[in-house]
Amino acid sequence: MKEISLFFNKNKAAINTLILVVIIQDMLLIQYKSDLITFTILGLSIIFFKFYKFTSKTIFVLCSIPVSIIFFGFLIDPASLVIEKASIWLFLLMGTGIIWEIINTDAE
Amino acid sequence: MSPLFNFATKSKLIDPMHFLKVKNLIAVVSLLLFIIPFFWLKPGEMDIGGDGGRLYFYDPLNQMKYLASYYVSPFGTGTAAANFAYLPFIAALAIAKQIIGSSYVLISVHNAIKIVVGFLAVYAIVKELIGQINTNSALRVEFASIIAGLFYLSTPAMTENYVKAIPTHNQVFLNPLFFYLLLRFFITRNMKYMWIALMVSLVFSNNFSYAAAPPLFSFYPLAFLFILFYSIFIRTISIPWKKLLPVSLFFLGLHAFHLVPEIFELINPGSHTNTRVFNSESVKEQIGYFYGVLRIPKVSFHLLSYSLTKQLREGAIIVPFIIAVGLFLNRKREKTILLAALFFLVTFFFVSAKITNSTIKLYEWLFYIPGFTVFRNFYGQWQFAFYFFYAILFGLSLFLILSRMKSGAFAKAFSVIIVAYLTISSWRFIDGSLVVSFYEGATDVKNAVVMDPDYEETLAFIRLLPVDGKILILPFTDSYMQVIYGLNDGAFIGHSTVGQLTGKKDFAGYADIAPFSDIFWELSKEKDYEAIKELLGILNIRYIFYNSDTRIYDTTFPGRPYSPSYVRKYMPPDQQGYKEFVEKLSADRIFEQSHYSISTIKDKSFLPHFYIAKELFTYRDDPELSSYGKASAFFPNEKSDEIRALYVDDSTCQTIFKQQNCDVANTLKMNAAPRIHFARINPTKYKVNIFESKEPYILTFSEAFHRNWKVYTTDNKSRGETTQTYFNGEVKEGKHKYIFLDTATFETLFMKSLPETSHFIANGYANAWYIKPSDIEEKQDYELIVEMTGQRIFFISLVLSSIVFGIFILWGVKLYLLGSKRA
Repeated sequence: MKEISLFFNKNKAAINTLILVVIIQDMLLIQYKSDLITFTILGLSIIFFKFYKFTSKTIFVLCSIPVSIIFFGFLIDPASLVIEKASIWLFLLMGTGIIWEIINTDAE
Repeated sequence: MSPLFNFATKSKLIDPMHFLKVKNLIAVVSLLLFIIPFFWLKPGEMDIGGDGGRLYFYDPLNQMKYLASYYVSPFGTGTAAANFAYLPFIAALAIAKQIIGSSYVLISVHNAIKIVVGFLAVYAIVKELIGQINTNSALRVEFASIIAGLFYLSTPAMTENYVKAIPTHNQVFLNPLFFYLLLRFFITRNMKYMWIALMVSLVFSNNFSYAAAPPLFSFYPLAFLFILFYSIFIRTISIPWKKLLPVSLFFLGLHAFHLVPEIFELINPGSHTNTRVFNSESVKEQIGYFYGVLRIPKVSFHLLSYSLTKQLREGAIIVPFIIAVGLFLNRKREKTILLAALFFLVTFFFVSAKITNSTIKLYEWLFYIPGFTVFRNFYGQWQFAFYFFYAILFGLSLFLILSRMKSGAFAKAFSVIIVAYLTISSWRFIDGSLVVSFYEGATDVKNAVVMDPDYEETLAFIRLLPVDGKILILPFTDSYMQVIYGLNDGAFIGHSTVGQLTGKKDFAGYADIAPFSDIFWELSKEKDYEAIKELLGILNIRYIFYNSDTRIYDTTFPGRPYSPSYVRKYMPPDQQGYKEFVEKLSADRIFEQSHYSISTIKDKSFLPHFYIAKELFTYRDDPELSSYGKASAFFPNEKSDEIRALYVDDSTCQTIFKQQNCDVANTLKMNAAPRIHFARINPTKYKVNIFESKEPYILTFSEAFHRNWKVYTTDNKSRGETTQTYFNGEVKEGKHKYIFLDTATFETLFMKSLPETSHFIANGYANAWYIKPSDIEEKQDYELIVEMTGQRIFFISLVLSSIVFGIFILWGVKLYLLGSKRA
């Protein structure tokens, strides 16, 4: 267990990058809606947020990714599924951040 | 310099710098917003069409008399419908119209109230909520609050529904206003806020009736919960439960006049409302509807609150961006913004439904909660609550951003950019092109109309028609709409005007003429005029109103409400064809003015409102037939020429006539035919005098069947004057009245009605009673009172509401005097 923990701590940057890439890839490359994919990514993300003791601020910073994708999606193809999926991710990340902050505020 | 200018400058009346100071900014914005709707319509024009009907702006007095005061609808066969909730609003409009005299001004003022009150309430809420966040920048608070109000007004739900706005659209301003008043009440405990809220709720009763259930239940429970959480967890104040109790009682008392009849309708098994709420088959239908509309809204649409200006679509990203940044900047972890964000998320789930496939399934389960089916059109019903919480969250987030800006000038510039974006993106709303638009498929016809005085004279003539018969409106439409071309380049397309404004029930389209809708179209296509006349007779249609204006049928509206794949497939293709159609059906033209004419149906085929059946035909109901085609199971009947034939399905026949042969296609001859004389007291009460009744007979009343139509007997043998006679004097029609309330209103209150087992549905829609001599103590000459008892419930609850209103006013005076003393 300690080894796994050590591994995650050592590769913090790589794992966080991987999470980001997976979220972006779901928005940009997967051309259909799948609860299994979305919730798996979200679940793993939440586990790592918890593990790395992320604050809600970090999650709100992550919101800038779907916001940017929506913006560029508008410029390229306003009717694309990318905008729809980015909106869903914006909602999920914002929701996670808000609940995160409420829980932490209460804990304090 | 003139002394006046000197005075004005010194007194700062025209000093622009003074005028634009922070405290005046809100007044300037409100004034600008108030002016906007006055430019939408041209003087004389009216935006009165649409599904919901907005004729109260045009003729509130007559609409109050014929639509809102009785339990029976003035459309089609006269189904039972409680429209009482309209009464206070229409009464207020009637008074305003007497004073102002112009429908154009009324509509513009109403729109202005929606905009300004909606804006001010959101502004005040955000300001109140920000007040809890430590700040020393009044200017930034002001900017954030004003922009939140402007954002609320510019959201799609607010801007896109002004055109042909239905009464529940008042939630645009009622939602934030009530939220603000309740919030202030919780904080200050001052009852004056609740008094104002109750008074406003009374005037806009329709927004608190069953018809408004979706907006009501989508907003108020969440709003109350928000204020509750805000008071307990953020303000840490106790909840004034004791004060809320009398407020709730006042609310129920003031609204009893429409709530009590609506509750009775809800618990009445078989009623439309009861079926909609409790029937599991109906729930499945509603879930089907939910899945039907599910593909329409996009998740991104609501999140981005799309701009009306296409060129600014990319700019829509600014709103979620500001919220994300605002949440990020919430360093002190202000709970208020988190609470607003939580409610935003909840309403976002309800408005979008399809965030993920699991949320769709979750939504489907919610439909099994009794009453949740009102949200089948979920995105339309939840959007107002969603955008309200969105605006609150946006305002709070914006304030956090503005408060982090060190430079005041930069904060101002940032605010100005957002205001400019909101203004430009809503420009189609501001300039009125979204409100006063052109009809789909008729690009040169506006939806704002200047009413044709010739049509107004036609309505006046219809009101004076002596016979209590119904009216067929031609050209016939797809649904229940009527088209009237105005004096300008505009036309009215809305729920038929004749019934609502004259009291004569009218059939304007396919939906109105159920259960004969399908067969009427088939017969019209086949040009079987004799069968059509018989059909019109069964429906008690005495008159044909025909609008020969080529602009409404030949040249202008190729699509709805005269769709080529629908009504035009069956009815005459053009006005020339309609002229022939009318001539073949009518006996005399009794009125003609400009395009409008009224003709009578030939006497031979007309069946009066009340008659005694001569023959009874049984038929088997076909469950495959829709409610619009049920009559095809028995009509046309080629076996008999008897006009007074009655059609009853075999199961009903078995129940009513136990000893008789009720086999399908069997004919029962009714030998007894007492003479009758009938007269209307009002649409919910008729008096029928029976003469020489010796044997059982069937009294038929050509009005939509409802259990609450009851028959009472009295010994009164006198009858009033006769205006019409039918069937060689066997049926006589008296002089009709329209008495709302008099000393005889409650005469049947303690009388025993005829047994319900004798009451049955005939001709696929009408009321019929099988009356035996034993039911009326073997009398031969007597009077029957046919009454819709639902109206009685309304009268009793109206008395209750009136008493409560009196106490409510006294309470208001007391609150005012106490307030003055304190001041």
